Amino acid sequence: MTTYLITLRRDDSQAIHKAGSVEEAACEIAQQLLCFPGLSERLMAIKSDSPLATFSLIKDDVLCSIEVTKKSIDIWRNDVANIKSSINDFHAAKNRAESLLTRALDDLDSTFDNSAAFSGFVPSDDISVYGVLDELGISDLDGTFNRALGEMYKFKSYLRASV
Amino acid sequence: MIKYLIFNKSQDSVKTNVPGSAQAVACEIARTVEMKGNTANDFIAYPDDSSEATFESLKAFPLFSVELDQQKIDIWVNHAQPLLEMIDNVQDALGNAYSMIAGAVQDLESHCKSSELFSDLDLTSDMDIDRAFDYVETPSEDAFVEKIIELFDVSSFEVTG
Repeated sequence: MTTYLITLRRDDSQAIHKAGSVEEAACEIAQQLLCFPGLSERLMAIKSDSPLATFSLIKDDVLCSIEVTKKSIDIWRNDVANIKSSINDFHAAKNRAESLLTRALDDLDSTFDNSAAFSGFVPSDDISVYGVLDELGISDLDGTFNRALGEMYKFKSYLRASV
Repeated sequence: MIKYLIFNKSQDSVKTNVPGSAQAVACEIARTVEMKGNTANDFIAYPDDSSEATFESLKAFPLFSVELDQQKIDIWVNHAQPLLEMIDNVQDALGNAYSMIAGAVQDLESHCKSSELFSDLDLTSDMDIDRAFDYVETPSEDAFVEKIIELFDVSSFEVTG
């Protein structure tokens, strides 16, 4: 088990983690768990027992720490990538479904509107596609997955709320 | 204005309503109001003062009555049928949307289950796809059917006891 501290890479830093290295994977994991808005390449992983780690802690540069093993890195590269991709596919399917239903309802509204005998009835007044798909109960899908990942990688955030 | 009585057509019956006739329109209206997924060909309609209606009534109670004249038939053909097609389009869109989401949920569950460490991770049990889609289907069709009942003076007969 190795603990890594994750810091922001300085813009002028030339040090980049080797492709396929544990450090590179650690930065990807941290990016996911921190919900870091930038690329994982903007992060740096430092072994917690190194002098640089101590220095970063003193400077208050550390964003989070995670614990990894060879097995947990393999899981990240295989299982987690698949599950993340499925979650993204799910969100994409929900968006496609919303757009499909919205188009069909718009067409229905317009046909009702153009009908002398049935005008005055607007079907979409009674139906909110977005509200309906929210009923699916998917709001915490990403949160649940991130919590499971956080437990697996013993994620600890060092971020402090600004006052 | 002619009142038509609409009956369930028995499976062995060879009688059919002439396409485009008032009887055929009456059966289209009946299947729309019934909302059970039957086709117009599952029904047969007769003018209420006809001998066929009397004879059919001896075998079974009518399901609906509909009052039609040429103006109402035109309303059905020119206004209600295009709307029905659009409602069917919405139903198709709902079916497609349901399949998309159900397929994505299935893939997600399958990827979780095939993982050694995430096989117990439950990401989807709070999702209630059926309930969400039931919610969207009901209001539009009900409101349309209410309007059809009003416009075409549809009465439905329930057999009790």
